[in-house]
Amino acid sequence: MLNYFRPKTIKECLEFITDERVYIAGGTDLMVELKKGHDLSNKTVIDLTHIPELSGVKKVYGELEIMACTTHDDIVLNKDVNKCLKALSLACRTVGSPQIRNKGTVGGSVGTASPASDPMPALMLADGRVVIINKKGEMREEKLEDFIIKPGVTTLKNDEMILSLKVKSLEDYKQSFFKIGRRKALAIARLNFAMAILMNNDETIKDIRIVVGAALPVTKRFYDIEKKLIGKKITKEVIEQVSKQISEQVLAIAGPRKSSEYKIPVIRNVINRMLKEMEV
Amino acid sequence: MDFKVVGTSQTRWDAEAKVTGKAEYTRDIPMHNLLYGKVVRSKIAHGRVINYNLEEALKVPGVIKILTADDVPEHTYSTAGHPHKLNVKFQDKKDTNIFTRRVRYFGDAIGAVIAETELAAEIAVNKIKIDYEQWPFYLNSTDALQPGAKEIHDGSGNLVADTTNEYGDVDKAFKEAKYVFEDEYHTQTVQHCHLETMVAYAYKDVDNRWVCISSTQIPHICRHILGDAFNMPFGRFRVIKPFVGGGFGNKQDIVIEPLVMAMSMAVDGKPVVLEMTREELFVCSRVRHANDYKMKIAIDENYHITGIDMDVLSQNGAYTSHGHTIALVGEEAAMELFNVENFRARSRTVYTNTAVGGAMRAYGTPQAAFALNSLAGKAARELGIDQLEFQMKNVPKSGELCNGTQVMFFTSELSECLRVGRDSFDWVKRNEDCKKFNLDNSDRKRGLGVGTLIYATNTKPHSPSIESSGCRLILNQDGSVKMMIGATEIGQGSDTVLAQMAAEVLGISYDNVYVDKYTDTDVSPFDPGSFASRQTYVSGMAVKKAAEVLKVKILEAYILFTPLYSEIDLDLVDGYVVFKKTGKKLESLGDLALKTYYDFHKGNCLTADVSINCQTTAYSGTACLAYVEVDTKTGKVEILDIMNVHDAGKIINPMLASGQVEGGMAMGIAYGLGEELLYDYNNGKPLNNNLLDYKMPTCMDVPDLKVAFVEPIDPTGPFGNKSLGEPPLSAPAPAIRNAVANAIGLEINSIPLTPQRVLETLNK
Repeated sequence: MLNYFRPKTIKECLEFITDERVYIAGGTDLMVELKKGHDLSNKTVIDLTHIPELSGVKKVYGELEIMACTTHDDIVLNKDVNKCLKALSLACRTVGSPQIRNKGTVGGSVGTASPASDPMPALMLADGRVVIINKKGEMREEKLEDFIIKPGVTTLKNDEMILSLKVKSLEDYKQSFFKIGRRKALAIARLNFAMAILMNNDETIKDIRIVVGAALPVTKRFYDIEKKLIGKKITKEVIEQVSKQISEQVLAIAGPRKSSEYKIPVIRNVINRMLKEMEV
Repeated sequence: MDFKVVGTSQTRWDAEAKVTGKAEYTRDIPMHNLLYGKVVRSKIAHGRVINYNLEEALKVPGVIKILTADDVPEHTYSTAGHPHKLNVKFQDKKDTNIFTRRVRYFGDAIGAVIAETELAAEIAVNKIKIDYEQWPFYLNSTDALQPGAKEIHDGSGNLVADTTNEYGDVDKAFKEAKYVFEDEYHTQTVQHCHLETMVAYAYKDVDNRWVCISSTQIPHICRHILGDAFNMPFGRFRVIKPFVGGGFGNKQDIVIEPLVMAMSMAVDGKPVVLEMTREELFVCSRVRHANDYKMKIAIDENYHITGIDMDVLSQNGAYTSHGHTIALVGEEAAMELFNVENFRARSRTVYTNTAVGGAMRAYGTPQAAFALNSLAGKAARELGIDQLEFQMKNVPKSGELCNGTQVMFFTSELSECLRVGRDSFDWVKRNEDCKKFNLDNSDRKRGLGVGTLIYATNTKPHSPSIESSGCRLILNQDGSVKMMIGATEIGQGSDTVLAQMAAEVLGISYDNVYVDKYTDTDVSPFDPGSFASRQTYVSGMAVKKAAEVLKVKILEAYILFTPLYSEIDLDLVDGYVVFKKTGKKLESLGDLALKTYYDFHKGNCLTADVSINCQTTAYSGTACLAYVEVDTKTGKVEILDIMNVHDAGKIINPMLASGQVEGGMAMGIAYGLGEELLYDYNNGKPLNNNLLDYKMPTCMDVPDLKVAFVEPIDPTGPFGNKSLGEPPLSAPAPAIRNAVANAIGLEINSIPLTPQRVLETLNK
């Protein structure tokens, strides 16, 4: 037997949570899985799409709180996101098709932990944290890097659900997002990247953030490389060095695969180009 | 020639019905007590069904019956939708069973479930357990031809055919050539991807005949093949074709109709429906042959191409279907394009354990056009000459005789197409711009390229098929005309242009010609159907002749009532009988028609019923010019501008013609840049047989498409017209490929030009 619940409030929702729970936050992955024969019998399906509290973006003290069931399209249209985390707007704009952007949600994208998630690099760019609530109503926060263990696996326990995502405002940063798919629309990312940079008046780097998605099993921010760049000017040598290091690291993590021959040089080229564009 | 209705952009009569959703496609037709069929498909690529375990499946509530290979006729038939040939030598290979124990590809039809609901059928299919004997499988031509390879069809050596065609003196041409260029090329497997999948009903009617309602391009041939498949007289079948959501050649094979008919026969003629899923359609219907070429051209000191020597391996898939004719049509495209005097081609069509290759828009010419145009592009680049000028010099001109086929190029204005393209595409200036751009930019490179094609109209001259068509016209009581044709409308607009032709001859307006909504073998005159870009030409001849016959009858009727005039003094203009000399309107067609119907003494209904046999063909020309930018850091190819220029003779309906060309260009761009059906070499299973993973271009990926026509009046066409349905898609892929090669200065010889392939070439 399959149970299906469609709560109207978070409180109501928590009551339905069981060990066999499956969430629908937009259904853009789950419906496809179902069609492929994914077995949901004996599961409790909780449809989160009719909980108004779970949708929307709040701005609190230099931070944005994006509720879990905010759709990609809502994010694209949201003024605060556009202002504070442009990279996320850009990323959500590239997700699937208009239909998918109208249904798919940021919380769903994080929860399924797909390596090809488009919002993920942008969220990580801004020190993204996952806000989690359990059946008892207890809340906890976890950094995105820690939350996602491997493709499709997170630290979310059976009695928990994602409530929202908190990201830092990067309003003063120059930001960019870049995606390579097999076509311009209706394509998941083969590679995606997010970058943000804040410069000092003397044209040295005050802060820089570099994230690589899709090519890796888990989206990664390159803290070590970022740190070494602070205080430096963006010279040709620096650009060459950084793009080389990142592509080498990606290869080391992902291991040589059939597609590496294409992906590794392209990662290097794209990082190179994004850094150059940041400089201008 | 002055035309009134021909050459104008009339709105297709079914446009409103289609955009408002009122047009009934096959699956929209309501049917009482309908049963649902679902095919059991093999889960291995090559082998034999040893045992069917049906027990669990039969227990599923709603299951009526399960059919296996043992329940259908043992004899084989051909699915290829060619008209029957009386000469046994030319007949298509009969190698298909309705259901088979001998599995030849992943997804082969080995049985079927008939159930009360679609869901029950599907559940039952999944509960059937099959024991197989598995054999080695081959997913490309080269592997299938390895010595000792298991034969997919006994006694075939995995070859459908191995032919060599030669004329002139090829060895001499190459010996005397100033320049010789050669290279190897590969084209991939693609699928038609029409919106409406394959779908058909079958049932026994009250007259005890078997009816098949099907989304087919070839209703009359479908009836013939059903007769073959069941060894029953053709008259015992009736085929009805409602509105069709695209075919592109895939529905020129009779794939599911015998299956659904067998299902209905198994349940005493109750109506059964069979509808392919998209996943099935990709691999269990038909695909375009993937070809491997070795291509060689000889060029003299005047840059004249004097000889072609080519070798092709054509990947046919698991059953013969259209088989070797695809490769042979490709050969002819190579003979015709530069009308060379010396030509040799060896073509081998190879059985593989993959989706069956069949007819697909432009039938074997996109592959050959890719290989030959790419080699011409390479030659031009290495000789340091302009590719467009080089092709212009070498393509056949009006009045030449085709050396290969011995058919006249009565009109052949491909060089004019290239000239029009060159001027409106700003070819010369843009070439200069590219050079400058490429000097200034290290990351991005730009280039221009050309692709061309000469394409016959209808199946001549290569095929020994009959080219006939029928048309019946009836003058209605109000002076309007009922038109009945066997030509098959599948979305391309043939009903509209054929109605325009009838209106033209009869001097009436387009909206006074009524066309049947369905094609029905009980009602519609014989016509082989929609393929080979033949209908505007061949069926047009039938319509023209029928209209001329009816016109004479109308004028004779007028004289019968008004014996003051002679027939030669009269004409039909704007719905009136007029006196030719003065243009004076004598009587409206409506008044005359009413008299002819009901005059007590002289009245009779005026009709014309003709069938014609077409003995001619005409060569149309296509030029595609492409302007691209290659991102050398990601390998991505961006089309900055693209244009097709066609010589299709007189254009009957400019709006529909442009639509045809734009659709073809999009398909050609997809062929060049993106689409490819892939298989898993571990188990022979298709990898991307769905519209998510098989990347058709979206509207975001297709740039603005430019279209132009050059319109010589061809003396053989009914209104000076020639083929247009298929040609548009053959030229874009080589044009884009040549543009990319010019941009990066490197040859890429395989399509699709994915970013990965481009980048690998750049990094080599």
